[in-house]
Amino acid sequence: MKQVLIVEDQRMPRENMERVISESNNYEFAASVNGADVALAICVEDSGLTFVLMDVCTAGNKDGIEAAAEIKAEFPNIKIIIVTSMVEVGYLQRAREAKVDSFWYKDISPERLIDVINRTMDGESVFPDKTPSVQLGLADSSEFTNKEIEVLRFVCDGLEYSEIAERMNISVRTVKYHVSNILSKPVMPIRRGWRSQ
Amino acid sequence: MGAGLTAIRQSLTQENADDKEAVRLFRHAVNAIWNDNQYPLDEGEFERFLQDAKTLGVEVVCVGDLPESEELASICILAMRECLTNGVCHAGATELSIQMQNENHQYSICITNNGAAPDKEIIPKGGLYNISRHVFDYGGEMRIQSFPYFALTITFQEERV
Repeated sequence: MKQVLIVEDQRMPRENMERVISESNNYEFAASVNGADVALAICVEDSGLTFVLMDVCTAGNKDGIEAAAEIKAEFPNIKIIIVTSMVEVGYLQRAREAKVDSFWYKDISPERLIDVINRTMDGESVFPDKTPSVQLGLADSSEFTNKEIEVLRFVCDGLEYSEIAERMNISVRTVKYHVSNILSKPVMPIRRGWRSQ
Repeated sequence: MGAGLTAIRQSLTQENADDKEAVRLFRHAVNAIWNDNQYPLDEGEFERFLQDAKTLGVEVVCVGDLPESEELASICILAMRECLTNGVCHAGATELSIQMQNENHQYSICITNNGAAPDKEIIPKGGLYNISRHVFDYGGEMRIQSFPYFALTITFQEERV
């Protein structure tokens, strides 16, 4: 049986992936961890691991793609499938650069996860052609730049402009520039006080 | 839940749709929600760290409390996670000892492990370097002891805690 590590810090998607693995006849669930940062340590400890289902935004010091790159560098035979619900344009490219084997959008990909796993284990690399677009208010995510989506995510988390600037390592003025561009898109639900910061 | 609803919608709109599969998916979704309600405990960052340490087979011996400040607590947990992964990967550690104390107007956390001592002095880079930057941003200090055993100590002045 092929041993599977699941890296996911949200309980319901984690349990869903565990169920997919436990219901299959070819794979055995080895462990689940919350943080991508400990995934390499698990690979070091468990020499029988065959593949990893890796979320991108997890608990801990690293995101899933960084951790995947480290695992691939040290254990090139371990297959890695990135699973995410984030439609960041940069993720697909970063995942390819990290040499992960496949990429699956949790809520959007038309393929079933188990099919992507099977195809990956058969040597195929399953990647979406492009980042899917989703509705953001009445706008389409494809109308936003990467930076605008990043800023929007922080704004939705309730961060002040100064905090966003610090997180993104940019100036407050640049944050305001991105916000101004976001507000120019068709009918976004505007947070009270958003403009007045 | 989404998969279950989609399957049910298909079974209602298509004559040959597989009703059993739709019901099975929907039942899984309901079970998942039911299970979630049985365990309403908040999975905070510290609990996630403890879970991951347990999965790695590392026993965490923890004395004291995290800082009340969310930001500082978050930095302390990042440090714990870094020491956990480094301890397993580089020292073969099976136990992590964490001592936290708040006295003499300062908060300190010291993390050690039972693994092999480093064979050369540890220069912070990568994860440890990133943590040191967070610590300095919040006015704290970080010290790394390499010999005779590894120890990471972070201190913050009381007014920040």
